[in-house]
Amino acid sequence: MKLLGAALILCGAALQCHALLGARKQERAALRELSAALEGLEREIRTSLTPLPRLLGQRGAGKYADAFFSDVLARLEDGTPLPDGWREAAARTPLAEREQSVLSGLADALGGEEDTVLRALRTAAQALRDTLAERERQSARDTRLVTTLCFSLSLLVTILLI
Amino acid sequence: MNEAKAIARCEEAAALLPPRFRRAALQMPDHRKQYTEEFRLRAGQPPAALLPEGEVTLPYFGADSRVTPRDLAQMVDAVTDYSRYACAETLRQGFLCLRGGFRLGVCGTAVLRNGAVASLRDISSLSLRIVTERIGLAEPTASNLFHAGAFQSTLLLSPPGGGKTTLLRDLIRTLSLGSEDRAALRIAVVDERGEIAVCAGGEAQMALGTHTDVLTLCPKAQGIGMVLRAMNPQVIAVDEITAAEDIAAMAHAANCGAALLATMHASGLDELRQKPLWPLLRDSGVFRRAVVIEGTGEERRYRVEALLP
Repeated sequence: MKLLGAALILCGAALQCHALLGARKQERAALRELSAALEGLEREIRTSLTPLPRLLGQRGAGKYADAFFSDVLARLEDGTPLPDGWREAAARTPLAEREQSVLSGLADALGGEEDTVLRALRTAAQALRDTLAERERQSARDTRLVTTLCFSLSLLVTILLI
Repeated sequence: MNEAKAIARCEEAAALLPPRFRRAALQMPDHRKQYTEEFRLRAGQPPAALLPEGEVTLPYFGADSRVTPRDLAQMVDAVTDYSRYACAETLRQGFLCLRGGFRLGVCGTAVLRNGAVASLRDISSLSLRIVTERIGLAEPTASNLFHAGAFQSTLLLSPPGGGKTTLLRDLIRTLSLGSEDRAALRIAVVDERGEIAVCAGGEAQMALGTHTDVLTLCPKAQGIGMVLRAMNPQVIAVDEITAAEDIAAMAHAANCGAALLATMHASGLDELRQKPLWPLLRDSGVFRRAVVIEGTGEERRYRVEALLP
């Protein structure tokens, strides 16, 4: 029974590590996709002045970016003004609050003149890229730290139990 | 345009208005809807419908019937799909071509760059024009514009608001479709101000026939050369002739074998001959026929005259 308990504690710790590291991996993937997608929007608008709804309807930018753009487009088609729909969709992305705010901040710039739109997209894409770089630097360190902590604690509890 | 169609067109236009004014426009009596030419929104004023007898304020029962700058900005955002940058070229000229064949005139504060208007901001008024097409209008006149089976270059004349563009549009359609007596003609339209075809998203919103190519928002003089080289037209159609270079381009096109169809502001041949451009027009020898539009509304008449021997 004690061995079973110890095994369950170890599994629990492993699952906890996995969940925590998984959430961070998801956030990094979302940052990567959304920064690339915003750069794609900037490029399309700069080269061909494609209207936003058509750009939002394009796919292939990745799971998180496609989901975000689909969400915005669905709200637009439902009659929600674009700035409101954009902000609502940004709040549903798997990003930290600060990065959600960067994405939301684009909402009012998007309907403006070409220069304003392009500048806002470039700034937002760069901000997300900077955050991604920071997260990647932390990631290797965090993986070791989280893994060590989880297993050390579970080992300690196991020893105490046995 | 028959009554039911005109009312439906007005209701389609009303659907483009800001939500809080839409109901008031839709609740206008049918006899007003039938003749509504424009909806006009001005910041600080109640919205109005332009009828032949003048502007009529739309009835509104909410707290504040006056149009706000926010109403105007939201309407422009909605009709441009929140992509004003995609419509920058026409917006800087003060208009937008909308789906359904409507034109939105825009007034506001001009943003200048290097002395030229780059865009408009702080929009202060909008004019939603219900562009009308009269299918069949030109058919009785079209056959009088041929000689020995060939279409003669023709000038359409009337004072401003006299129906030149409406006639031009249906003449293009009629010539493009042909008939039992005459073959369909390849028509190239140089639609400098977007008023003939009213293209939105690359698609003409007006019926122009099945053998018609449209070049939109291109200056006439350049556009005539472009379509001549690229589209092998039998007829080149343009709206108002206003500059000497337009006539020079038309003369070149005529020398290459294309016939021309154009409009000019003049109540008749006498007034045309007083115009500063008349000597150039006469000496170019391009136009052989003129159609003088007389009367107003349903009483309009179309008189074909020989312009040059």
